[in-house]
Amino acid sequence: MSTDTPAVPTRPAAAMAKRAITVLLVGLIIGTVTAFIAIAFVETVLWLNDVLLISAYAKVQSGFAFWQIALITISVPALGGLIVAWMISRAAPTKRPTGPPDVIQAVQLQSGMPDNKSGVVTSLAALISLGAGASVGQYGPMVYIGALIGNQTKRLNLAIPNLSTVSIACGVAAAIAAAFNAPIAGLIFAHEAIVRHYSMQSFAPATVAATSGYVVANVIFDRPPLFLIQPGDILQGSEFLLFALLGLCAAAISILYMRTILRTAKFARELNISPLPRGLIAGVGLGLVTLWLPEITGVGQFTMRFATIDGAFSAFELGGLMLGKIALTAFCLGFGFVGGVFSPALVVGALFGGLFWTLLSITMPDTLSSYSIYVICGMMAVTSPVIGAPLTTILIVFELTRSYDLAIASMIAVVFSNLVTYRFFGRSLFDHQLLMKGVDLSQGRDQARLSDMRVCDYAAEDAPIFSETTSQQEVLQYLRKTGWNEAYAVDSETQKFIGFLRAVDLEAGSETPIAGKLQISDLSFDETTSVRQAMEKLSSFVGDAIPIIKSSDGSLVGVVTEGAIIQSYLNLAADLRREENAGL
Amino acid sequence: MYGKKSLVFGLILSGLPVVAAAEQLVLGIIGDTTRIAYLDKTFLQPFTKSTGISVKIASISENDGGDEVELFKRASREKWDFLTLDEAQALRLCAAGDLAPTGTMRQRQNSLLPEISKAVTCHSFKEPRTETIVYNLNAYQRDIPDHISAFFDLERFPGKRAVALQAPGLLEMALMAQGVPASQVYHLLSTTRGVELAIGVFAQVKSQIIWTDDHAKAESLLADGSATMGLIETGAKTDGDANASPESVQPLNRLGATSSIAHHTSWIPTAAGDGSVTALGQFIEYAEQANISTVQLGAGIHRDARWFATVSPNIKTRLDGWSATLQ
Repeated sequence: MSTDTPAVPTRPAAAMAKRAITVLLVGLIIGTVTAFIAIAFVETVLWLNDVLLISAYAKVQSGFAFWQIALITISVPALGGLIVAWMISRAAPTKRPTGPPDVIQAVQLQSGMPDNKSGVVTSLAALISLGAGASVGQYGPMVYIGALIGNQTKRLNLAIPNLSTVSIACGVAAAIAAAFNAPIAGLIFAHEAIVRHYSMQSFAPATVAATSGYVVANVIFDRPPLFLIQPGDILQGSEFLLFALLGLCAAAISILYMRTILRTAKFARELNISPLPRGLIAGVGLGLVTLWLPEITGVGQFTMRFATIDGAFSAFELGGLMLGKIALTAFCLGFGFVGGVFSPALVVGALFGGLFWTLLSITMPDTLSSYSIYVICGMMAVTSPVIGAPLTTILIVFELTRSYDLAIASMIAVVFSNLVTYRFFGRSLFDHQLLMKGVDLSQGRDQARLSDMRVCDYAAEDAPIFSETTSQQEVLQYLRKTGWNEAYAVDSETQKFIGFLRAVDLEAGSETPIAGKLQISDLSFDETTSVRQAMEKLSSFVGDAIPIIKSSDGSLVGVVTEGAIIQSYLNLAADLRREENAGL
Repeated sequence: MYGKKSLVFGLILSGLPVVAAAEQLVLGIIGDTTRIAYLDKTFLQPFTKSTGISVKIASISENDGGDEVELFKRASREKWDFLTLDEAQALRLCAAGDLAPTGTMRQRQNSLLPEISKAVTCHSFKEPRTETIVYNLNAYQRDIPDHISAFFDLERFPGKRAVALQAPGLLEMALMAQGVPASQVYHLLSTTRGVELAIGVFAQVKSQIIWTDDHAKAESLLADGSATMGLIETGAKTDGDANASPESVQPLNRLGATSSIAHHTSWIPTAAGDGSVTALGQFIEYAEQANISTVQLGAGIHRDARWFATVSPNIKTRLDGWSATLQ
């Protein structure tokens, strides 16, 4: 019996510990920094609202005459619209605002975030938009800022796999945790909406980041929660049917909200107005609406606060303000203001929930649970399909109210809302916007990643490509040497693909050009063909390789073998599994 | 820039207690007996003991039609040294020019007392005060009120509510009872909708409110069990003092952490008084350094006096007229 003891692998254990500590520290730092910046962002918006006389409080404080207030109310958003339009069109390299869809794309396709300058310019533009009273959201920009901060870890060269994804998740989790005083919701949002898997490698540091964000917001700054209500109990079990009905109706509101945003943006694009005049139109329009209906402008936190109080709005006001908020948000986003869609959706949802309860209470007086329960359910049922995060919204309710009853009621409403919205619209507004850019996440991240991979990147390096004047003997010798069974011919002058030939058709020792032996290829790709498209077309293909032909001039880019395509898929699948099961 | 002056002032303060010993300062105040007794015990008596300067309180009562304009007139006429004003009123009087210092004051501000020179801009040292909703422990023994909304919930917490006619902060409390965080109360009260909402919330308990002339009477109603909830002016009472006052026969408890509205009373030198520069200076210095109130606000809100002083006429009218609407 051997007395030798196996050596303890101390080095790997130490390395693992070091890596785990590094990743957790990354989470802590990103979470803390993001929370401070997110809170500064929110406070700056409030400060701008006061300084620029956007808020009712500031208007009352000012003591200005009505005509002075009216002038300021129109000119401030107009100026804000112009500045934002200038920033995005002139200062942002992307020439468009960046946002959560870019974060999702960067993480899902591993394609990298847009450049930092665009991100910073967009965030500042969102700050100005919100400060000038635009009806846009603040959480989208906060999520983007969190992702932007997280993305900076790529400069650190820490040699940790998937660090970019992990860091972005940390930033996003901290931003939501700080914004809502809800660390669990922040953690889940990062994974549900952005990362879309729950590996320990990202879950652990994101937990640290979300907790840091919560501590900074709740303990250090004592930020007020999104809503403070005492919902009471659900009076009757049968009300859960009403929550399901609320969810179904909320789906319609949610779809209306998202479609209005998309169509208004399309309409604004089709007007072909240059950015600055478009920004001016947005600002003046916003100012005019503010004079008439101040409740639907800005982030809407005070309107939402009113909406949670029974009796603050009549049924007519609830319905009117809800539709007005949808229209104004779509107008602001479509015509050039920059911001998110989360906050306006919360306001729309709260107004809808209040309207739902008010209408029900007419026919079912004294049998309904409290007004605020329906408001919260409406808020979450409308919002969750917009951001594609049903679990997050349920957790926000639970964390903010600590009410198990209300969390269950919200869950019913949210699930039914998402069921309908998923069927008739898609997973979220973000995913829909990505789809319009050609990124389809509806079939999962592997399919999306395959769609993002180009077959031309997998073209064979030693492909037998010859001009049509090459002799059969020369081609045959090359094929025998390299093991290929087919060769591909191009026009000697234009380099256009003109056909392929098989080795068995060639005559050994013949100096005759191959031109007479060419066959027409049944299948070809171009430089834009994705691996996913290629795989779908390969099912009926027989042969060595498929030519990749440049669509603009017909020239042959290269050829790709069936094996290379399948191998690229297998590599991707292995990468994804590794990422999804990675530990610290 | 005040270095030399402060040094001289300090020398005077420390070196002339004997000169000041025979002096008496007069403090004009609108208030009830509870507040006067509290101030006397916690501030004025220690001041006299420390400096030898006695302080006489000249109070006028709201019951006798006294208001701050009347207080201001009497302060000038009867040469009171200091008067106390609600901070918002002080700022309004300042803006209106009514608190402009007299020639005597100008002379003083140019000499030894930089602190008094701030009175030109209506600066004053302040007495923090707090209105807190309390409830009677004997009335609610099973379902314990734990939130300010209990005050407005007659179904769960029936009983009379004792509230002083001039109690500030009721609109704010009505909104806080609806879940509005303290930081947003004044934003909502800046809108007509917010004011109307608050008045509507308060109207729900209108039938059960016993309006009293002052806080002392509200407190006595709670003490004898005539009211089960009420709004009392705290001074020292809410700081861990569950039993509101020694003479109470009913145990009172503070209604959660969100039921406090804190505000300031300004103590303003009148420039009309007979007190010497030294005595005035000692009083100001003592008052600014003394911990007049041990009130801890907790999660309640601090009433923004500047806001009340500058609100536009239509909102101000609503806010000023709330008590008439509610009573």
